[in-house]
Amino acid sequence: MNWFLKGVRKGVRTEKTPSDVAPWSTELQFKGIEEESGVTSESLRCPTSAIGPGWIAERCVYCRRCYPHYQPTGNHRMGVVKRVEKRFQRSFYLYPIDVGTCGACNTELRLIASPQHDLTRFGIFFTNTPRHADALIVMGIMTKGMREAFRRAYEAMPEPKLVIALGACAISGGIFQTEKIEADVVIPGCPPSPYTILDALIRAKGGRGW
Amino acid sequence: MKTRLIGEMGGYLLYSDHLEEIKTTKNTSNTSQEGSGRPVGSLIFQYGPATGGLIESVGMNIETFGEYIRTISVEPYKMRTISISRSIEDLLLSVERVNGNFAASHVTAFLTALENAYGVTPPRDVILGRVAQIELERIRNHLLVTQRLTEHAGFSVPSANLLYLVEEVNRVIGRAFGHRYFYGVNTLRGFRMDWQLDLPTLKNIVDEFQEVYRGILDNRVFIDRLQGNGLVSIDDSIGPAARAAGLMYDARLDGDLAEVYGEIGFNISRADSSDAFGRLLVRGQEVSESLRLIGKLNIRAQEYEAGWLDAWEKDIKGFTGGGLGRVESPSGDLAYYVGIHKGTISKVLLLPPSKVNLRLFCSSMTGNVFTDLPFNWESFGIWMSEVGVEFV
Repeated sequence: MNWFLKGVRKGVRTEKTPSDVAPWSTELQFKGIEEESGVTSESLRCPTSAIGPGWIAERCVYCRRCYPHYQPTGNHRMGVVKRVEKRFQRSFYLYPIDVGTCGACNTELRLIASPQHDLTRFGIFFTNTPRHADALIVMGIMTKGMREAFRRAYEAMPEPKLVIALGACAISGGIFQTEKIEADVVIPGCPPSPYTILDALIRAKGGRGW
Repeated sequence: MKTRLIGEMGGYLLYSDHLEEIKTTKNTSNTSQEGSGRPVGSLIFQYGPATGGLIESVGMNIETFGEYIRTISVEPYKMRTISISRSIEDLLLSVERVNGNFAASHVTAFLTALENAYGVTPPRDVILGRVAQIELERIRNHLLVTQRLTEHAGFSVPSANLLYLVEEVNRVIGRAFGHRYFYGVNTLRGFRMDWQLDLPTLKNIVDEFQEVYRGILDNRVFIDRLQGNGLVSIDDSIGPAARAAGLMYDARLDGDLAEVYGEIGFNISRADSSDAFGRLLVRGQEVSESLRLIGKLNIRAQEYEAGWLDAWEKDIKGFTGGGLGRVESPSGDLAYYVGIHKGTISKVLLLPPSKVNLRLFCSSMTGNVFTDLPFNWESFGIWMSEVGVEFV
């Protein structure tokens, strides 16, 4: 079998615009007038106190207990970029480090390399060593065993460097309610969809997002 | 079917038909063994815990002379603890996150343990919905395992094809259940399914997978990396590893969901070699079988919040007892034991398939060389997230 021809025959499968996002990985919005509703994290039994005032993306684990008061809008652009580094505009190398995940963030991050998303067309690449990395993507809750590996990976990176917290666990402790990790870019979601991840990464290097 | 030892959970040994308290100590360490002491010229090579090569953090201590692997031990660096001192609904959210890629399997085993403890049976629609989720998870997992194997071989076109298909399966799941990893889908009372499952798309995905799969099996260079690599003992293997060795062993035949699987006509997939190649063959067959099973389940989109638990909920205060739930996750037996004391959960024991597969991986690495390691590792479909979890 000629794999080259086989690949060519499949045609271009990379998406020009985001087209298929799972609703419960996008922004949630209150239906009606929130101030008059009286709903709170307590009244909705929100396990991570992600309600009030408004919906707090960084804490949400999408358990759906707030439904139908809060409903998905389909907006995947939830990442918060606190620091933009334009020097990474042409080439942005990422070193992922899993400090205590359930594996879902790992898979979603992996899927930004799928043909549908193709991270390389945006000048974004994975690297296997922190010494070649522009950004450290940290996923999961900070576990005791991974703390030293995280510190050493960060110290091994050259300047300038970004820290990107991916997923509710890294950002706020998620359902496990552990410590939050300070980061230049936070990508909410449990796990964040490949669209949300790519959008935040593009904006972190000075782009308009996706 | 003959009773088989599956593995250790807490202070108990789980067999295919019962749970038994441990009386004597068995070797269940994640270390391979070849003689004692370190021979002259050998060294310990530490791989991980943070590496770009593996999808999760894992630390391996490899005793080697440079190429030949003498022993290997694996450490789960990311140890997580889950508190059981909370409501069942909140605990369920943590159980989903023991292993995101097998979330439906974990939740089903946990809820089945709970239901067995209380002696209640959910409506049939709920059970069918859980089976469908597990089979969808199996398809995604087997595609991902095959993709990882091709990636390690530098087989770029099939690797990209397979990653495309994994994403497509995630989209099918996301459209039907609202979430790509079944988070927030299952509750104590049932499950939420927003849209009808897109079976034609799922069939196209599986057809395309089979085309890629046949192509990679034609490639001698690729299958040479798998054949004879990671030979495991038949006696203590589970899941695809057991079936690769030709065993008629599958929790779908005798686990908690066996009745449903029996009714819809489940066919076990087997091969005749207990190596990484045999495990790939089993996964290839299981993808098609899972699609066929999902088609026969005929689950419908709706929110299953039936009131079947209302009467039961009044009786649970003061209840003391325990129950075991066992399902066939994509990587093999997955079991939970839930103990209840006076209406609240007092004990949760977990036996994830990765714990057993990790032991099999270590024992099968002795005598292999470095280049075999990633292929053998991926062939078991191990997720370290579920190995390093403790319920306290």
